[in-house]
Amino acid sequence: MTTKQDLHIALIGSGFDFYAQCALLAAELQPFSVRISAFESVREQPDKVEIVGPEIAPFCQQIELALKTLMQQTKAGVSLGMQYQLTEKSFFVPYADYGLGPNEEFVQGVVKLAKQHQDLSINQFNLAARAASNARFAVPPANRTELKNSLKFGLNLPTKSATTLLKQQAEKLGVNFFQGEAALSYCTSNDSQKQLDGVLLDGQLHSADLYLLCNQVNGKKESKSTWCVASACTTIETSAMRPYRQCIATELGWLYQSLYGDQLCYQFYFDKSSVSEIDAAQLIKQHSGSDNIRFDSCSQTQFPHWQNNVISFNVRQQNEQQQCVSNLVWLMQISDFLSSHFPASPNTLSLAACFNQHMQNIAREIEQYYALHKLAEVNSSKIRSHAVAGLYARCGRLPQSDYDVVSSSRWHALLAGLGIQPELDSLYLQHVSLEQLIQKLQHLDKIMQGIVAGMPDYAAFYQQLTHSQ
Amino acid sequence: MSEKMGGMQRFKVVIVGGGSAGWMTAAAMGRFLDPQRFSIQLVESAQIGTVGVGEATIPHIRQFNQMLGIDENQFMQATGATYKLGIQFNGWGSENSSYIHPFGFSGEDIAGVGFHHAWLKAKKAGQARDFQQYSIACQMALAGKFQYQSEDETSLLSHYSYAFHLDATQYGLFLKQLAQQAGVERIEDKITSVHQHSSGDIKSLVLQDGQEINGDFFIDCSGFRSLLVGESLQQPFDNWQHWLPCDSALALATKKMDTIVPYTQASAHTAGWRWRIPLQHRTGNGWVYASDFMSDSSAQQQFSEHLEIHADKAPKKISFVTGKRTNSWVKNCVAIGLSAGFLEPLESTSLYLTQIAIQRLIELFPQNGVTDVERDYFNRTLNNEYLKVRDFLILHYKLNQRQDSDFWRYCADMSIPDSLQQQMDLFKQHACVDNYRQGLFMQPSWLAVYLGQGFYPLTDNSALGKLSSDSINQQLERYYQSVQNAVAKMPAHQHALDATAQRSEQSTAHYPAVGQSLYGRLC
Ligand SMILES: Cc1cc2nc3c(=O)[nH]c(=O)nc-3n(C[C@H](O)[C@H](O)[C@H](O)COP(=O)(O)OP(=O)(O)OC[C@H]3O[C@@H](n4cnc5c(N)ncnc54)[C@H](O)[C@@H]3O)c2cc1C
Repeated sequence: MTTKQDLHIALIGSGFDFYAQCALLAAELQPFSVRISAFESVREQPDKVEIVGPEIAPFCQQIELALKTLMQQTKAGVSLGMQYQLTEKSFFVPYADYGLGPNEEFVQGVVKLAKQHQDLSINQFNLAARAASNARFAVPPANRTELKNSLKFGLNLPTKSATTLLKQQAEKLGVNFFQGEAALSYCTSNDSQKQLDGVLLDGQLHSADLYLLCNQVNGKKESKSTWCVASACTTIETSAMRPYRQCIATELGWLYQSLYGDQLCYQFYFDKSSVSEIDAAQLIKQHSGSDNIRFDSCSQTQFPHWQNNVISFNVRQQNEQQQCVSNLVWLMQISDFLSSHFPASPNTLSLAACFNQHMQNIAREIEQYYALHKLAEVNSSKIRSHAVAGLYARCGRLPQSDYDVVSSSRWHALLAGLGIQPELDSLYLQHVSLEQLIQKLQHLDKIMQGIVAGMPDYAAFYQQLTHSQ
Repeated sequence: MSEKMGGMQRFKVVIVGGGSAGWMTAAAMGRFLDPQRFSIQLVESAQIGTVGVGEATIPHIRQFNQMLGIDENQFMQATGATYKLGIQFNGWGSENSSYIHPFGFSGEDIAGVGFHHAWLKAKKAGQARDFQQYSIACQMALAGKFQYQSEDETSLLSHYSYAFHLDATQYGLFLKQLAQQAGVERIEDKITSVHQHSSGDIKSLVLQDGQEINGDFFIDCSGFRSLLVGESLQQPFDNWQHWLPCDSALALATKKMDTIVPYTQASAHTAGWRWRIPLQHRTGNGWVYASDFMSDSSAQQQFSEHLEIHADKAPKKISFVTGKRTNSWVKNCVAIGLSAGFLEPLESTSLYLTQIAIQRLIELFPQNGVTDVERDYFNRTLNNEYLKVRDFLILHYKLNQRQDSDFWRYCADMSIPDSLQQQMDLFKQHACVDNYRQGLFMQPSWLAVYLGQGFYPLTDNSALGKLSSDSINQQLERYYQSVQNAVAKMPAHQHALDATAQRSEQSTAHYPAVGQSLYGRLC
């Protein structure tokens, strides 16, 4: 039963992000007096893969869906990180933390030692990276809290089944769904002062206090982009399954590979003004052997924006940035914001300004990471002009992050993978001799070796997971 | 420039100034710079002396001490320190109001919604106690109790943290000893001139006795004078006096309090405020005022009238301008402490800003000469720290409801920085605080000041619409009772101080490790 005081939130959209946002808001705003209506434009869900990082674990917890259920029912692929196979280098970027348990200067210690021992890689001290290179995987048991952050993983989710599951979950959490092609009704025609006064569906106007347009064009003409993504999936042998994604350099650009079920999916982002669809199709075919290639246009992710009574988040079309940071991160930031800044009055000007500021800052953090990722093929002098890389190259430090949308371990791994070694050693380790460091790391190496040896092959893990439903 | 040691060139670090900032820096540099590679010299002048105040701290200082390997019990004995659980603000909202800004929070979430929403709802119904009655730190402070917080996050006893009141001169001496043991060389003389390279970098300092001190890297801890960064390098000063109008202080020590309370007192008067800082061996007193609104003689007179304990000595007068150097790190010189800026002693943030600058400098230390990379990053992060403290301090003045003087009317009417205006609008409209991770003051602090000074949201948050008033009241009351019960069982502050003294003699560490501060993020 709703009371007069209830705040009514309407979500309008479709697709994975839409259902994820419905479930998240319903869960996060549970303590508040909120009514959530979801207007879904029913579209055939494409056979796509949704790439999500380790945020999937807290996400599932928030929406009260067991991670295991999600993995089982969708036959999700596990991803411990990204393997880069570039022209001149190959390296792994894990999601998980380095070392075992919290240790502020851990990476600094390894980096210091690596300067003397060129063969030492920081990934030797990352449990997830070691598991990945051995194609092994296990979900850390709940009682091994020290392993939780050392084995963080993301998932590759097939859009169709994941979407179905999320919708079910949203319904369980009390979201009221309406189907059909909903139209937005604005009070004013002035674009900059746009105030929604309702959602028109089957001739009926549904009004709400706050509207979330997820994957909706929101009246604005989308800027035409020449970027597009070609994708195809192919069936692989169980024994060839790997618990990570790949980014492979080809003569035309980067090809991303991710696995769910026994489907290995390829994605190639390209600019039609420099690569033809025929060439792109050929590239995908060459790698996947599949003729069944889909083309989708890409757009820039427009970060969430709040204006008057409308929050819009337009990511219907895919873009390459999502290979680095998933839309789920954004969705969680939105629901987190709304639950900690619950609108108490209809005057949302200050709230909207605050929201937009946060989203802009988050976008900056994501953009910085993506920019560095894209610099991976570039020579090191250009890399050093990147703000984060420059600071790391000099002092081995990362700038303080306000949101941690990209974990420090990913930054460290990417920077190390790009061959950047900090010029200066950490002064906090001044009193730790190289011998002491070696001793500590050797000890850790042994422990990690034992843990990885005790893990099943990823293929075996997957078989067991999907057969134990 | 670098000097040789056993065939190796040593990088020369020169610290100017031997106040709290100078010795905090020297002790940290001494601990983390390898003496084989670095030489550290500190120049101070007894003739000039130190500012001699700066006795109230915030919990972060514990992290600094632990970073230096200092035993907390011994530190407390050496500096005559007492425990501090917060600051009591008297007369800041209305003339008769009083609230404590604690190192901790009030209440706990009710049905997943922030405690303050529940409190606001109950208050509207006339059924809430004072906000601070639900804060364990406030109740401990008012009851004169102290015990270490619990490390068990599920316990009510983990809802607070603590800092110290300390004797600044003794703290300086304590750190000086530590620094000298670590190889820092102290030079006692007055710097009469500063030489620069053609690049503008500082080259050397010339002392009164004619000696020239060369260096590769200079740390300017010369106090308000800002000898290197301000005078020599001509770094502009961002003046914030229009927002923080107090510019003068009288400081005077009186004998120790009969009952030593574990909190600082900041009581508003007609043109500023006065402080009371209880130490083990004496009490620090101060009268902070805006000279545009109160004459020195009037300040002197009113200060002595308000002293709770008679003093024979005349107070020391200190003049200051609130603001900061646009950049603290210029060329091969970084300003730390008062030479970098001074906002206001109201929230005891100065030693914190010194600490944070030192820690950042260690992370970025230019071991082989300065580059723009570390300098720019240092300036950016420190700038953010100052801005965060600035806004929070202005809030206290802006929110006053006193109509008894021009000073307070000016403060209530003054325009404020946009960042603060946004923060206040957010609370007024939606009863929420825009939290940030970098910089001081988290939600509990903002709430303590907002609610303590009578700044309430316009609208009722519907958040707790689902919970009945009875249920909210019951939960509020339950929490209040648990606070009362917990505080009743705690030892008196004096008892805790005696126990500390004993442990210090036996040199047995027995205090909580530094964790996440409830007061602001630890660096
Ligand atoms: C009224 C007031 C109250 C305060 N209360 C607090 C508080 O409660 N909590 C808090 O955290 N902070 C407080 N502060 C700030 C705190 O006092 C300072 O941050 C702290 O004392 C550090 O000062 P400093 O070392 O930078 O400067 P100083 O103590 O002034 O030291 C400057 C040093 O530089 C030397 N020097 C200067 N010129 C020369 C020269 N030409 N040659 C050689 N040496 C030279 C001096 O001899 C001295 O050793 C307060 C400040 C004021 C003004």
